Amino acid sequence: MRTHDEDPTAVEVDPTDALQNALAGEHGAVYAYGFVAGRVEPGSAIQRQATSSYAVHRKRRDDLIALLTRDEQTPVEPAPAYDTGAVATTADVRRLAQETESGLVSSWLAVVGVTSGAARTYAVDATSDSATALLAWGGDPSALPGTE
Amino acid sequence: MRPGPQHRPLGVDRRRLLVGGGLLTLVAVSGCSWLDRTPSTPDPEVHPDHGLLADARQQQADLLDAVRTTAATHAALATALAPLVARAEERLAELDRAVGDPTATPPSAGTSPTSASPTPVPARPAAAVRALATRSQEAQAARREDCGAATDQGVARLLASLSAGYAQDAVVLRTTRAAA
Repeated sequence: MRTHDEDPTAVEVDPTDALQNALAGEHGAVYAYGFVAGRVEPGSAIQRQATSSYAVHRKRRDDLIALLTRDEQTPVEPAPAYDTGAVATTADVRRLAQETESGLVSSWLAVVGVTSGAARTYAVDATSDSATALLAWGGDPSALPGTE
Repeated sequence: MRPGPQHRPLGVDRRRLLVGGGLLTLVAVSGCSWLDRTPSTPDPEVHPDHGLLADARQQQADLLDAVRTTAATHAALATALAPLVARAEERLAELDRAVGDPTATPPSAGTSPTSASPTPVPARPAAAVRALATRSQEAQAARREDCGAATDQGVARLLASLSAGYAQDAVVLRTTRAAA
């Protein structure tokens, strides 16, 4: 991260910082969906949805790790534990999933701004994927996802 | 998502998890961008991303007009399409600001000041909604492609956010079509 020369109050994010931030979010999503899938009724629609989301974010996580490693960076590790809040009801699950996807929309949008080429395209797609996943989990659409 | 303290049991403080990834995001959006210019500093015509924003504005204006025309043609859809109109108006206002034309105004309801040959609204409500979904998908794809060409990080983020918004609209319209 570096301070902008013309405006001392503004800072720009280094691409690696943004990618590491997105990876941290994907680590959390993998945890959250794995946690949810293990707590809801086996074979239920919501478990299938959680399992599908788990697979999506595991792929994103692995892609980010590969990208950072290729750039000779050390990918951030997942946290030993995450606070999920109470996950006792379907509403709890949806709330957790919505907030997880909402956070990822913002994180991937930040990556868009500091990357180019294939990495930017990947980030654009990840932004849209999480924006639509947010709806699938019962969230509301917005005019400009990730900018709220 | 943010990790919780190792010793803290799950479920104590969900906020710590749920704001995940937000810290650097907030920093990122405060970064320098051509979009942050003031009226006295820039000549928007010379910026290499101006054309991308103008294209986005034109397509958004056409899309807003299409949604309004569809709602006017199929009164039964008007309530369901109202939130879509609101989102389209918000995007158009943001693009007006980004393009930098203070005289630009949203098209009036039921008119098509920005499109030389507006697409006719299908006679069947479900087909009309499907047509809007298709246009939303086209806008999503266009902004996705243009995002790759943006030189300014703020413009890139705006185009990506628009693309994500159109993706959401397409999902919503598929649900609307099923109910039409």
